[in-house]
Amino acid sequence: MATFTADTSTTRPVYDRNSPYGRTDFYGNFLDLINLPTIPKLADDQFFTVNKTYQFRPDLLAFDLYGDAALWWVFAVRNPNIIRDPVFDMKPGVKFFLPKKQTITAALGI
Amino acid sequence: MANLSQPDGSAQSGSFPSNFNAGPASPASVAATDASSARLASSNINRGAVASAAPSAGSVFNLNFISTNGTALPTEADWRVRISMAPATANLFYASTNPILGPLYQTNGVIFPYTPTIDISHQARWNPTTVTHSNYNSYFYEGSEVSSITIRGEFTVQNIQEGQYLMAAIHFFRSCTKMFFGQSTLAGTPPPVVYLDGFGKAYFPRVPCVVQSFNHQMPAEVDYITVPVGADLNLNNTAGQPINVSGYAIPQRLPTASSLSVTLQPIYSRTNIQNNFTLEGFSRGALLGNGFI
Repeated sequence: MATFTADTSTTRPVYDRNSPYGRTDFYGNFLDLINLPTIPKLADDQFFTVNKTYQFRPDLLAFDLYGDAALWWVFAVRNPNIIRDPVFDMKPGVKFFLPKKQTITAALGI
Repeated sequence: MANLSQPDGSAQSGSFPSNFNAGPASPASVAATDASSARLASSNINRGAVASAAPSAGSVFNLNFISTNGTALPTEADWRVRISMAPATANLFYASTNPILGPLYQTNGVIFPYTPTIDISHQARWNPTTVTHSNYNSYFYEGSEVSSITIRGEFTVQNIQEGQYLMAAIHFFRSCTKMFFGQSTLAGTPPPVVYLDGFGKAYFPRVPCVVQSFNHQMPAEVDYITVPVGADLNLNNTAGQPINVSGYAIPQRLPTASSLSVTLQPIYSRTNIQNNFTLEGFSRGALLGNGFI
């Protein structure tokens, strides 16, 4: 009976820790199921209402808040019940909590 | 390692930029951060997603005396205890441009954020004369006076704004115990007159006073925090981030809770007493406008 063997001969991409795939394991050349980090929900997280400036632009919001556009996905992880689509749910009027920079630094180890 | 392009065109890889902080931006990053700052300001959020300094938890100051429905009330309607100056004198002390006393400009003098303890006594001096072969002394009226008023209040410092205000209050009372001296154009003028208001116009009707003594206690059993003194109130510093005090302010350690007491002596000019005071007028409250108590 043939068994599946992962191909480890090719070079795999490396994801930084500020990437949503930073903690996801590989199975051969393939990404395993995504393993998103947990971002703590703190009582003093700021409440934010999306305006036209940041409409569909989580990368711009992440850059302005944290100085790193690659953290575009942290808003969806912090607010899973509000933001299902990390880009197209960023519509004007949508309200969600902003994780603080210190929180993200600690959670992602960056 | 993936190279991630930022909206400003710079490369970034897995860590926060070294120049990313709440302090003044370096010249190289000014263009990028200005656009960011403008977007953040228009969206009412702060860099780092932290709360603003002023409305942070526990803030007790309502500097502009905002009513519960959100409208700003005039200073005259403010019932808080306030020690202020005449407008011309105030410009010499707590003008908005004064780097250390500037915070007092917002409140037109020192207000006590918590209700202070106030001791005030009114005295009539009746001198007893012992009469020979009498069961009782005879009393002859000598004069009346209002003794010095002692005000003791608590101050807490939980953010930059409150720290700057406490330091301003301390420095203000220090200044009020000293005369104009030396090369000053006002040299020889005694310490300034201050005015005491509070609890409404009937209790302290803008009483003219001089500061006899001032005491501030730096307690040993409370925490101390660093506050930039002498800086613009519109700081970029926000709660939860390290305070950048270099270059534009004096770092000052202040107690998170302390008490301040000041002794005021009501003082009236002879002209005011001679021309305006009558007991009939005083008793019906007609002289409150002259500051008589």
